[in-house]
Amino acid sequence: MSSSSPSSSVAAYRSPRVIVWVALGVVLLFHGGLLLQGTYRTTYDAYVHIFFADHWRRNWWDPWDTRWYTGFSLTSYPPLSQQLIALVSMITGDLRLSFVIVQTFALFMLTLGMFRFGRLWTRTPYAAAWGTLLMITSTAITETVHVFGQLPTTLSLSMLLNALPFAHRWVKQGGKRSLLFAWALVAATTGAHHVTTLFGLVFIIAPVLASALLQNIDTALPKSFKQLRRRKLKPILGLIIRRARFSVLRAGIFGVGAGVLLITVVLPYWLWSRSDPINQISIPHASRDNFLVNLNAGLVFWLIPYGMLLFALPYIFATGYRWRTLPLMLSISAMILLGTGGTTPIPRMILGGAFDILTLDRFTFWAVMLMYPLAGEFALSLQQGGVARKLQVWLGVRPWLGVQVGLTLGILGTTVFCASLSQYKPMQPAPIDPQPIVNFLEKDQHDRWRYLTLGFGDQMAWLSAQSTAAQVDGNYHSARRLPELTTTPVERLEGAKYSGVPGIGSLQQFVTVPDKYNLKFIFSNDPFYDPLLFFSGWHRLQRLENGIAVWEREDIAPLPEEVPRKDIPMYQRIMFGILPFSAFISAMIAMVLGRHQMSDDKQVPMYIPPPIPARARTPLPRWRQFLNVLLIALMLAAFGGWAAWQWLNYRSDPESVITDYYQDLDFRRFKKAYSRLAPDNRPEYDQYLLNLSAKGGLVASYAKLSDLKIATFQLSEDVLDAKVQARYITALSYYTDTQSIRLTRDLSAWLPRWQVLFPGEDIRLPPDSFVRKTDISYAVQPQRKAQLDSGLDRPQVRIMSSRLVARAGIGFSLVGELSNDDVDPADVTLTARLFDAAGEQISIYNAGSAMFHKLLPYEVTPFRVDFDGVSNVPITRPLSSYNVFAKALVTSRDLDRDIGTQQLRAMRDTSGQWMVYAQLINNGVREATIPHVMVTYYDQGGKVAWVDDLFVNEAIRSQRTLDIALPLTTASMISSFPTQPQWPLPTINGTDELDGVWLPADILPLPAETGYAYARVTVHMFSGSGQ
Amino acid sequence: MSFYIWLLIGIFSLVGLRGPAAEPAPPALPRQIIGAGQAADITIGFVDMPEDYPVTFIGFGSAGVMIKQANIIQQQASFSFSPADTRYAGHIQAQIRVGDKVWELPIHITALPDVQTLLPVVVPRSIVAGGADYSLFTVLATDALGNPMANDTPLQVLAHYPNVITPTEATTITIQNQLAWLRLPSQNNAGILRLGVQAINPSGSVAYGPERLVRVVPRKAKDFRLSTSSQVLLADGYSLIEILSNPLLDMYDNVLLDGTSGQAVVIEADGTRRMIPFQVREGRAKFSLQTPASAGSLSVQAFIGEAQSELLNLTFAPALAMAPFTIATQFTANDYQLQVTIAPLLSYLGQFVPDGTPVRLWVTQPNGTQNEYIVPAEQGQAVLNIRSSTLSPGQYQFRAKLGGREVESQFMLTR
Repeated sequence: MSSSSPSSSVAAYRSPRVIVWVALGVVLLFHGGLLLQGTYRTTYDAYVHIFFADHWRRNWWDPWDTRWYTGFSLTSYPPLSQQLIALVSMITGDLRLSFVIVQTFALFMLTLGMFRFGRLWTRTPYAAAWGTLLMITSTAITETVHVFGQLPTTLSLSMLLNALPFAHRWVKQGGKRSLLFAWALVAATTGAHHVTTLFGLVFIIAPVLASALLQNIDTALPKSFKQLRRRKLKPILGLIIRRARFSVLRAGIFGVGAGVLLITVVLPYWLWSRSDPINQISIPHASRDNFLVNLNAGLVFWLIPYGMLLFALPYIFATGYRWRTLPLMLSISAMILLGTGGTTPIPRMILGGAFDILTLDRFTFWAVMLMYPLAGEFALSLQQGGVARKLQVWLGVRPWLGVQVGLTLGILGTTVFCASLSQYKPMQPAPIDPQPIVNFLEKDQHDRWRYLTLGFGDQMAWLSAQSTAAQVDGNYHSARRLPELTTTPVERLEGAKYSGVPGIGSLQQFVTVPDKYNLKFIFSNDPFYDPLLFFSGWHRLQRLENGIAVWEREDIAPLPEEVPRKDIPMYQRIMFGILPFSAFISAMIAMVLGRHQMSDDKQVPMYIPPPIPARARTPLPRWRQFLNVLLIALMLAAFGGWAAWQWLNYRSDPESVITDYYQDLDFRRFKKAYSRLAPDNRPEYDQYLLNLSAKGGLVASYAKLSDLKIATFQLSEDVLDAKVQARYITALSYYTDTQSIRLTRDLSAWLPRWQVLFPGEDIRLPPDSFVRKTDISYAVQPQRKAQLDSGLDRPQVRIMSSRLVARAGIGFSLVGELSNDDVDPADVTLTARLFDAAGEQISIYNAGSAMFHKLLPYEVTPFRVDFDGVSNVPITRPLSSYNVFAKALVTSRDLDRDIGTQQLRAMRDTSGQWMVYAQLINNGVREATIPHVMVTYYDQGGKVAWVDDLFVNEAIRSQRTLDIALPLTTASMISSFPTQPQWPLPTINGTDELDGVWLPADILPLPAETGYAYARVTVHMFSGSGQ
Repeated sequence: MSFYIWLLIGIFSLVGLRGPAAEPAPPALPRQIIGAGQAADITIGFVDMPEDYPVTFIGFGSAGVMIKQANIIQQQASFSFSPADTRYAGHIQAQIRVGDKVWELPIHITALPDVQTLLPVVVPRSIVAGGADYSLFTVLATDALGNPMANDTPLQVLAHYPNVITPTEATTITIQNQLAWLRLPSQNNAGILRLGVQAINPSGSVAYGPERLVRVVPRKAKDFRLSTSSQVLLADGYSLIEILSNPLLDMYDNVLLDGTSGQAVVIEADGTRRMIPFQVREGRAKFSLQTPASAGSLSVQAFIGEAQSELLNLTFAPALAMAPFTIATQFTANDYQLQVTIAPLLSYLGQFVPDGTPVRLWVTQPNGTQNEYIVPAEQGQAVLNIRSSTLSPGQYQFRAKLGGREVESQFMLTR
């Protein structure tokens, strides 16, 4: 035997506490250091807790916060962890530093708790200590803290794990102190996160109580089946009952008490959830996905939490199902199953409706946490127990040492990988300095309006914590109650694009009717939303020094002095302000007073492994050990070969190659996309970039790739053509772009060819390479004093005609025309209402993108107000009347009207569909990044029959043209609704409606077959960065 | 117990809620008129009231609530009001409370006779010339204490209309219900209407206010004419010509404001239309027109609101495909493409047409299906590559058009 034999290594440990101290050092140096470095800033949840903490710091006794969702109650979340941050911040003056301190403290407590918890299940405290060290260096904890940013989870679990030894002791031996200490810690658990207590009662507390019970009746049981056969069953049962009755009684007392505490400590939360039940439709969460299909979800919610623990799983399952740890293993097994999400149908069958509400990764997390005591036994066994002996015998001493080193390096490597995951795979936008935004909000009373952030990720919560200004969005979807939000599976408006059309639709409702929410400012960190904002009547005010674009909507009333709020009874405020924190203080007292109760090191002998049987000490012959090592090496080589083959196979799959090329373009990884092209015919990189930039517009600049459909046509062995239908989502709608791509094979890899992908640069050059044009500019003078009233003039606008129509199978729309009769440009807001026969309002909505909001003097715009899906509520009551009114302020912005139309004609296409064809020409000096074409159709009487609009998905550079085709909405689909405008119409700043016949001069006569008499084509444009 | 009894007695004594010995007779309460900022005493006479009996004065006015207390001395209670008490003009609904009896006492505090501050407000701030539109000139006048002036206080409104040498004679208006107002109709000239207001006080002093400006804007435009400065009009489908109007005037010869939007409608020889939006710049309609690709005439008409221009007819000479061109087809087996080349494409001076000039190409397939392509010219030729995998064997017909010239060709594909 070598000098590094197991028995000799034991001598190095004078006490398992050394290992626990090392674990605490890891908490302080590794996790604390990383937190100080700011890993929490890129996590999902940290800023939410910081925002809540900010609330408690500002107002400890009133849980109502007006800053999110037009107001919400913080009784919707257990407050302890956030209140701790708030309290610490009162000393440090820094919420983020306070978060770091509290999170480090939670990990500190978790380490202690894991050690104490582990001692309940392990045969020696050394194993518990090793389990603690493994836990604190695990990927599960690292991910929870540094990727997810979960504080309540760590704090509540730390409290619970510290409570369980007291509970165990109480059930096993009695003792009021143990009971009180256990209750105090359970109360703190609830104060931090009620779900931990709720599910913990079943999955964590119950196994501990059962273990105590089993240990008590263990001595009554015969030691073997032989004894069982020899003795009568009845006396044994009697003995069991006598031994168990007090334990059962004590377990019952503890359970009832824990239940009462669960209800009492966060009673306002339960009352809130009862009086204000969550009616949010299910928001997709990747932890419910099939991990075999969604591999990323499998990585994040399964593989990373288990991490290196996977190597210990066989040992845990092989040794865990013994009498002492049976309850624990049953609980672990159940939670492993629930944590697999949608990979199997079993979790859904077990959880029922709760499956779509819960985030199932917490089960995996709890399962992993409960496994660490047993993993500690594995670690001990690997060093000096049965596993060590087997490895020494099978592989030899050096390979055994190699395995230990390998596993240690694996733990360190995976943990470092996990801690830095968000660095090289960003899950949040780049850090945003909130100070310029805060300054903006504080300036000129801008905080008298609500605001919205776009593209901020979870940093929106940090921004909210910096200011008292309110926004319509929020980062805690359980608390929201606006039907526009609860009826869509959108987690946050600010990331609406990730929810596809439902998300965009929800955002559209807010930006179209901002007056309903006093929403005046939008801070955008994502140009994806620019087209939607622009065409909904918003204008870009400025770009702040942190790069955030500020968008503004004109003519929005400020918030009233007193914002409506829900009155929270005083007793609930006092309970929420006192009980959770009192529970925490009690828990800390319990920890201090109970430390000796839990510390029985003196009774623990130095761990000495059991003697090794003589035959087991005999190592295999060296050639057999070599063969075993070789076998393992071969297995690793086989895995490597399989991975390499997968990569090669991927390169030989043209669809994968095309998909990756498109994704590179989508994520603006142009260098990588360029490298994928066939080298023999691709242009220089600069030319490639020039060609890419030449084709701007909605899809090229403001779209996100949604999905690809690829059809391939093999031309020869080494040449194939692919027809690629790329579907993009934009803030306005979906767009499909079809391209033909030729690929050639080089060795086994398919390579896209340049000239087919890009059929040459746009070689149309305008006649003048340097164009000049006079322009009309306007300026709104700034105010001399800070005041709410802008003091701007209200131009006179006129609703020329309006008509309520129904589109077959779609819904109701109000169409018409509006004129700016003033000499000043007008920023117009047009609102329409529908009423039933009793005069009750059915729906109200503004004209969104189907209108020009910024009008030049004497300009006429068509408008269309689509009522379908307003607040996601269908119109079911019969309509009787409507009204429509407009208001306007002078504006100096977004008045580009340089797009003319040429070759305007209406004709059928090859399929017989009536189309309006035109060639757009940009007569201006700026690129029309997104031209917006509106077509007004008139009936024979000259009344507006319908209004179509089209967002052209390609940009038109200065002096260039672009052909467009707009499918004409079939007249038979439009039915005029037999309603009349409700008179008298509300008149605002002289607005009135003249429902008469008016035909502008610039109309296009239409063939009678179209069902319309005339059409009028008008175009305006979004100029992207030029706006 | 005795402590509580004494305590109650004490409290009642302090707040004066002891009941009177006898029912008091109503006091004489004449309406009081006090000048703002003046010290004043109000004395109320009583009958058969005990001496030293407390009387409470509670006044509810626009400045808030005022409470005073006095005792009846020789059947009279006297309340003193300091200048600060009477600072705010307006009506005070006062109550005189004696025991549980309450009587109303109307008090009116009048503003000072002299106007100190004038705040004119004018809405709208722009009106249309011609006299049909008017602006409402409203004045808030206050005294030295900030109180609104009394009704019938006279004010003088001064106005200076645009393009008139001297201001108009001052118009006297009076304050009614705290406001004085005057409708000011526009005259025929567009420009800046200056407005002011002053008050000549009884004391002989004059109160001045700030000037206000109203913009008188032109009415809708009269019909107008268009012209172009280009002497040579070539149909190259490429260059731009500038169309300009004469100065745009309204019926009173005011020049239209810059920024007014208009729309030009161009009707080409084949009846297709163009719509060109423009804005009035420097008092004229000015916009660019891209020349047509085929020679011929087109007409241009511009509209600004209900005003329209005379028709401007423009005739363009041919400038594209000045020489015959051919269609050549070539099957490139290595590239799996059918290459159709249209060349040479020559322009006005017999040189290459500008790169990017669109050439229309119609391809008729063997089954009779016709596809239209627009092929940009480059280096005097337009090349179209058709993927051979999409072609079926048979006779293909090609027809290309550039400018006014059309050429046809055929190609047989055998496989």
